[in-house]
Amino acid sequence: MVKRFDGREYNELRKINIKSNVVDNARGSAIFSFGDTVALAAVYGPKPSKMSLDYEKAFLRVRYNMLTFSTPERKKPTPGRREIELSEVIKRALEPALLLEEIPGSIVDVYVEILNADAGTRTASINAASLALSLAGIPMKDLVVALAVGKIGEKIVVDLNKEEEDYDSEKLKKDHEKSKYIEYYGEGRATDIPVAIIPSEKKFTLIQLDGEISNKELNDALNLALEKALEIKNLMKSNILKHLSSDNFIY
Amino acid sequence: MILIPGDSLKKKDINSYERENNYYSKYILLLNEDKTTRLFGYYMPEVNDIVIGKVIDVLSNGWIIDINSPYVGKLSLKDIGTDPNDLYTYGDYILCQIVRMTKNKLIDLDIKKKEKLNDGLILKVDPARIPRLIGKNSSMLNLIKEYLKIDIIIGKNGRIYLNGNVNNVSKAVDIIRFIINNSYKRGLTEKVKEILENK
Repeated sequence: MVKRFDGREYNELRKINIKSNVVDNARGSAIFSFGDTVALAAVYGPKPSKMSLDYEKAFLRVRYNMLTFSTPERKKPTPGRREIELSEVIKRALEPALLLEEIPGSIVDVYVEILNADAGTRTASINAASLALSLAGIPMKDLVVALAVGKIGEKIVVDLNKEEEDYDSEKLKKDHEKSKYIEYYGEGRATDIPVAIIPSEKKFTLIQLDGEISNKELNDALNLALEKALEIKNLMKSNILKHLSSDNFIY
Repeated sequence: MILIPGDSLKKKDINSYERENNYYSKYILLLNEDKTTRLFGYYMPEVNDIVIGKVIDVLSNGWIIDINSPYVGKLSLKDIGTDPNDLYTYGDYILCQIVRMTKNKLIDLDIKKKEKLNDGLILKVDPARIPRLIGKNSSMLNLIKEYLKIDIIIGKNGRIYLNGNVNNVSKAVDIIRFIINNSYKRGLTEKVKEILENK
C-alpha cells in the first residue's frame, strides 16, 4: 500500500522533539522540531522601555531569522522581505494568547532562529516561542499551538514537508520511481495552510493559504488541524512537566 | 501538581484569569491544596517592598535605579545643593524602599540604608523563590545568619547582598543556591539546618 513520501498516514505528524531552557542567558527558551525543521526561540524581558508609558499593553517584539546553514544552499544572512513578514506573522499569532496588559509599557523580546529548514518553519517557530514565553513566566491564556494542514493533489493531509509542498503531479509522471505516489495523492498541486490555534478557546490566531482549496475541503482541513493541535499541546505539556521534574526542585 | 497556562483552577487568585465564569492559570504554577505558587518569573514592584537597586543613571535631581523588574525606579535627591554624583554614582548598589507607584508604573523610591552595598557580594536569584529563602517569620534567613555570622540583606526583587568572612560567605552562597534549587521540597528548613551543622 502506498503512503505519503515519508511513509506517514494522512493524519500523522512528523516526529516532534522538544527541549526546554537551552539558552542560559535567556529568561526562557525552547527548541521545537517537526521532523527536520528545527526552531530555537529565546525570550528576554520584560524589561523597561524608554518610550512613554502611556500604553495599556506591553510591547511584544519578535525577530525571526533563518541561519545561513539551515537550507541546502547557503542562505544570505541579511533579513529580507520574507523574514520581516514572518516576524510580524509570528507576533500576531502569539499576541492574542498573551495577557500583555498586565505589564503595561514594558518590552518582551522573542528571538527565533531556524536551525534547519524543511517546510513549516513558521509553525515550528510559533510552538517554540509559546513554550519559551511560558517558561519565561510571561502571563498567558494558553499555549499557542501551530501546525500546517494542506491539500496535496486531492488529499487532505497534516504537517507537510518540503517534498509535499512542492508536489506537482505533472512533474511526477516523468519520474518513474515516484509516479506511484500519484495514486495516493491524486492529480494537481499542493495547497499549504499554516494555522495557529489557542486550543482551550478553539480560536485561530493565524490562517494563511497558499494554493487553491474549496470551502468544504478547507473546513475539513481546519477541523483536522484542531484535532491535531490538542495532540501537540499534550506533548508540550508533558515535556514541560518532564523538564521541571528533571530540574529536581519539585517533590 | 504542576499546572501550565490554560489549565483550569477551582477558584480565583492572583495567578488566574477569568473566562466565561471559569478560572484558568496564566503561568506555570505549582498547585498545593488549592494554593498556587509561581515557579519562576520576573519581579513586579509593589508599594512598601524593600529592594536592592543599582544606579543606572544620574540626573540633576536624583538617580534612575534598576530594580530588576519591567520598570525602573526614581530616587530623588533630598538635600538640595549637593552633587548627586558625590552620594551615589553609576553601578552603585543601594537598599531602597518603594514609596509610591502611579498607574503608569512610575516608581518613587526612598533610601532604606544610607551606606552603599558595594563592599559585599551581590547574588542574583529568581524573584519568585525569594519568599522560601526568607522562610516563615524569616526563620530560614535567621538560621543562616545565626550559624555563619555574616550580614545578609535580601531584596524582594531577587538580589541578595552578602558580607562578612570570605569562607562563610562562600558557604552561604552554596546554601542559598541549594535552597533556590530545592525551594519546593518539604522540610527544607530541617535539611538546611543539617547541612549547616555539618559544615
